[in-house]
Amino acid sequence: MQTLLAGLAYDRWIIAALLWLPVVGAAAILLAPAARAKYIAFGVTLLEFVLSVGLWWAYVPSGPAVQFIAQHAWVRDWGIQYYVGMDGISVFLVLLTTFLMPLAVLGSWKGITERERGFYALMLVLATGMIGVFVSLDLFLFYVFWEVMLVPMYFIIGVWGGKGRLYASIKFFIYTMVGSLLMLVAILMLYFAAGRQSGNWSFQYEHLLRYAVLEPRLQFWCFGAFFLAFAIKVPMVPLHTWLPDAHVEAPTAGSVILAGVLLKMGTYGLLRFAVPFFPAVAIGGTVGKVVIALAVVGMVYGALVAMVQPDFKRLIAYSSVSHLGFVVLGIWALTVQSVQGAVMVMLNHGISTGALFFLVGMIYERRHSRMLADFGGIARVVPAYAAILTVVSLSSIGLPGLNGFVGEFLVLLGTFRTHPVAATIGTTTVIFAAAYLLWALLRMLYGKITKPENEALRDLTRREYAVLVPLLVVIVWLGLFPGPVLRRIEPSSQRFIELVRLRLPLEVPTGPTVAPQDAPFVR
Amino acid sequence: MAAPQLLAKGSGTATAIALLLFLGCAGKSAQIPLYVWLPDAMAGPTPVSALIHAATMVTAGVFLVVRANVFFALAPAAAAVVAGVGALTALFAATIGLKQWDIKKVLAYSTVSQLGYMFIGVGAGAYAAGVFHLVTHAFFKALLFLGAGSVIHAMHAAYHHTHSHADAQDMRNMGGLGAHLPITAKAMWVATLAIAGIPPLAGFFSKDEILLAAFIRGAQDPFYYAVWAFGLVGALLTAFYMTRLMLYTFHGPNRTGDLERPHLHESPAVMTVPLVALAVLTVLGGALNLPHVGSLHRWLEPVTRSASVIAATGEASTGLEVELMGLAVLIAAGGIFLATRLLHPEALLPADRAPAETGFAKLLLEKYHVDEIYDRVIVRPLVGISRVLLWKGVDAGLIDSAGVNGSAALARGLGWLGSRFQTGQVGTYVVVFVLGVLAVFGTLMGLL
Repeated sequence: MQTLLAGLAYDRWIIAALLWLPVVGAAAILLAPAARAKYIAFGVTLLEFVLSVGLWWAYVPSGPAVQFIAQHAWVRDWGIQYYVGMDGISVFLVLLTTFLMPLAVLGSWKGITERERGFYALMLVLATGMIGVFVSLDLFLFYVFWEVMLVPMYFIIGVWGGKGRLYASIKFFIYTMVGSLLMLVAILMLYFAAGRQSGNWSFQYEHLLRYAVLEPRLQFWCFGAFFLAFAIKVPMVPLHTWLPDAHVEAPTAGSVILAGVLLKMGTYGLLRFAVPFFPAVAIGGTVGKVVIALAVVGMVYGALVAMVQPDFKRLIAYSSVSHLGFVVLGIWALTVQSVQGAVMVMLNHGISTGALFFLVGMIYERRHSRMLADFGGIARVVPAYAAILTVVSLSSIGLPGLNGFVGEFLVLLGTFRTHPVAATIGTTTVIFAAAYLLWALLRMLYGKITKPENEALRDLTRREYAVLVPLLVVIVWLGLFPGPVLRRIEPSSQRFIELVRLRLPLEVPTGPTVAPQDAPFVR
Repeated sequence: MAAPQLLAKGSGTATAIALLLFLGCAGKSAQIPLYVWLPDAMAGPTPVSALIHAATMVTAGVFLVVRANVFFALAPAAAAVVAGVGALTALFAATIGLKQWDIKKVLAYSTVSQLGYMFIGVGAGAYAAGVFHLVTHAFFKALLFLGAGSVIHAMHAAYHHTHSHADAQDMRNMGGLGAHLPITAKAMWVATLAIAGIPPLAGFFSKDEILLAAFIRGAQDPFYYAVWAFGLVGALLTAFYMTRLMLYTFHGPNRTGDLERPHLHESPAVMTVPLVALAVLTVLGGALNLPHVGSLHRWLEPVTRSASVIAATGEASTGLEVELMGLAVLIAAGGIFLATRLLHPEALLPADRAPAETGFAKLLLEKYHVDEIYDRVIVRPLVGISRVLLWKGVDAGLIDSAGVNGSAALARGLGWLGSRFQTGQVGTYVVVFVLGVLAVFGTLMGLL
């Protein structure tokens, strides 16, 4: 496989293909008749996925830190470049995106009946924006993609959303915009600081990392700007209230992509930019403690609020707040296991929560309700639906053997070495997750049928199986064999920690190290 | 390095590790305060109850304590907690078992109680004895559950014929079933004598070994005498409630109903053969750990060696051993005797005509209201706080209404304020202009 990919010069064109194919597809959709729109969108996203699968083999974990690099001048006078590449973490976030996109299109097949061309074209533009965020190595380019992705999502919620779509979409837009504009200011500060220091004007990631030396006070504000932008996106408590609204109002595909990929842009930003640029502020001192406290509070808070939601979609939205807390905790704990775990949680949350949103969407299409109280005992009428919903919920809870467990366990394991109290409190989240999801399943699926409307519900169609089965396969695969994925993430996680440690004046407590031969069960 | 070198005996870390492990074990193996799920789980099919909730899965907690014996040996305080919780559970669950009418509920609380005995054993450092009881209990409790299944099967079939909706699991609707289900009745009697602790059946040996171990530990730590005493009283109650179950189910007059009675039949061979097989094991299982015959102790030695090095267990003189054994047999026989004397199956009325329980019996029937207490103290406050304080209060109230929509209202207010200056009326503009000019002049004059 590797020789085949090398023969195709895969590493040279893959990012360009992934980035620009959707744009071409979007243009084609706008030119084609409306009835063709979804076919084109599905074809393009499927092709994207097929192309991206090569990354699994083409990415060499032992190779250079960043691979698949493409670099061209864009605005020469200001040192802005089209500079893209991927490390192990980016590779999997891109794979997550390309994997979810065709499913999201397929999941919209029946749900989207109006203005189909606009919807599918926006979905494709969204894909470009998301992939762009994960591959940009030039901060200006990153910012452009970051903003580009905002627009299609705004319209997807605002045009194809539910009753409260206007409120939700504007809330989403303003929230994100406030954060990202402050981030732009911070990017410019880094740019000028690095330019003055080196005499070389560039937005390049490594360039800024090396030369952007700010005085401590400025560092604090600059970090604050980045952190705010990303924390809103994650979202971290108390900046999370746009998420439940956006999720509830968004169409199914919107929710899937929002939870599956967009939230990860926040944690990815923390991992790639906010922490490495300002490790002294981010990790050392009070700020680090506050962030960890916010992460833990978010985990517990999100879970508790999820428990009392009458609306299933809102419940899942709050569960995202809880799960993403794991990711932030894992990043800030700064051990290889916790960072690997954080990346795993990003992937697993994308898959499990994506699947949950698909499942809610499917039942909504049948009953036009997402209220748990409107169901009850439907496992008798829709056994396949109930079985899949149960498995996906168990994966979201973190049942060993399914994907969710791997990431959460690694985060808790890694965090315990540096922040035992936070890890301990975080563990309770798993209990609450079981409480809110199993309780929801109990009320929705099991027992006697309580509403006559539910007696004639149709079970899953072939198209719906086509959406869910790939997700189930990945849920089981990542649950049983996470090793190959972890191996590919490890060097990049290691590099992140070294990058932070090298630039960190304060010594971070590392806890006792256990030699492998003394701990035979660890490996 | 292994645990004994890393952790000092009796250290806080060792105790914390052992206690946290035990918390998990208490959940899995249904010990106080985490036992409430097991009786409810008996709603599952009876073979599942037999296999999962009696013989195998629930004993995983006992297994884990045995596996992690090093930590419990390093933390004597935690081991005492294990034994104490076991003793308390053994007695507490047995009292609830005294007044249950649902045949499976009796067995469920019996299982909780017997798991308590296993924890007494492993808490006292007698790991092999704990595992021994785990194995023998698997034989006779699986037999009891499958037997109960056979009874319920027969009851269901009978009620099915007449389309009756009476409770097929309520012992008040049974009685005299021994005549209709002879194999089931005999097999269950074997198991009943075993769980009561009548020699030479399996349960006698294993339970006796556990109580002996607790008594011997009492010489070092008098706390274990109390554990032993609890275990002994629990044994009396065990013999009593099991005899009660047998009397009400299989003896005395039949209360199923005149129309239903002809349809009561022994279960087919596919159900009775396993009963017989388990009965044989219940009779012979005690040999697993007999000196010179069985070898469970020696077999487990590699597992428990490190613990026995850390915490040396005492030895009993043969005389004491025989005395305690005699006492245990006496207690078991006493329990059975008392039950046959005090209970009157012939006076029992079917469930729909039975008078309501009162006083302590009612409290036992309602399981000390533990489920309701948990609901009031834990579940409802947690849900209430989450709903009222966190969701409606913090999320919707503080963050959304005050913060998000508040800032939106502020922006709109500022916009409105600004719009007041754009009235389009020249007169207003002139007034403001003149006032401004005057203000500028005033300032300049003041400065000069």
